[in-house]
Amino acid sequence: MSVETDTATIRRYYEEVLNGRDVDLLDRLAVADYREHDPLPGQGDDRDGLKQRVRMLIDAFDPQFTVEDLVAEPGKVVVRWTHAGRHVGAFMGIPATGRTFRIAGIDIHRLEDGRMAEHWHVIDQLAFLQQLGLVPAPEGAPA
Amino acid sequence: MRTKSEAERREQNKRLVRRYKLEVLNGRRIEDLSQVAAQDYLDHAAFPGQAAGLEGFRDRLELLIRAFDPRWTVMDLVADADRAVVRWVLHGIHQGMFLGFAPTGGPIRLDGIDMYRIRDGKLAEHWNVVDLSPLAIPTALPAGAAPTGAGAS
Repeated sequence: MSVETDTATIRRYYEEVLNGRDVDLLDRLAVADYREHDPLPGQGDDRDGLKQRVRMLIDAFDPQFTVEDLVAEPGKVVVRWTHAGRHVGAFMGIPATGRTFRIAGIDIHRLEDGRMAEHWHVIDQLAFLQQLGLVPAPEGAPA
Repeated sequence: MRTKSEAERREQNKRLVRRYKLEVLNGRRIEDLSQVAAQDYLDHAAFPGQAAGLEGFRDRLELLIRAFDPRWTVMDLVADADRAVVRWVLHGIHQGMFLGFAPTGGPIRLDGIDMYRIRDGKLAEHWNVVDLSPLAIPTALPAGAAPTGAGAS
């Protein structure tokens, strides 16, 4: 598959699955034995686990992802994104705070035959926890 | 042979980033930074007060080295013809002040992904995401007590 096909698959993941809430589209966008290297707590294996992950995010954070940048090579697509959300549902036993947040993250996706097969990420978890009021910002730290 | 040339550029970009992380950073050869980074290096992830360009880049690295005595491990590299991405793990000792976080003297692990635009064989522009939550979450908490991965995609 071409870099263009891979990129189109990944854009659909953010626009249609995450922002558009079309979780079942993952049946077409991801391989059945999808491998997650950075699972959410409680996330199961494979594509079913990915669908569970997306549902957890939607239920807890009412997420809106913006793709800020995208770098692709054959078989891999990197996405730098911004996630603006609101903590509307319980997450990991923490009841909804109702607070809004805006955080950055970078995902690395590996694709097989144009479908999502494997994933790694780093997200700005400190900013997330601070914006939800779950950890204090240190003195002199950037906002 | 456009395809081959793009593949070569991708490999060149990966070699540049690997050299920067392993030789310049881990090798503490900050004096060689001008060989791998442009004079007008533009950092979209600048620390508060970081000066512009190569001078600010050098100050940033010296701050990181003082704060953590870090060793980077390159976990993955992805590149196109003009850009490169590196996923890394930093291991070090939190021995100096960093962005308001007082040193603990204890070991620290940070995970990050850097994205660079490359121009004329040098790093020219930079974005990144680093998970700094290990600095804020007390290590005394039992594993799994702190939320992890929240807000992910």
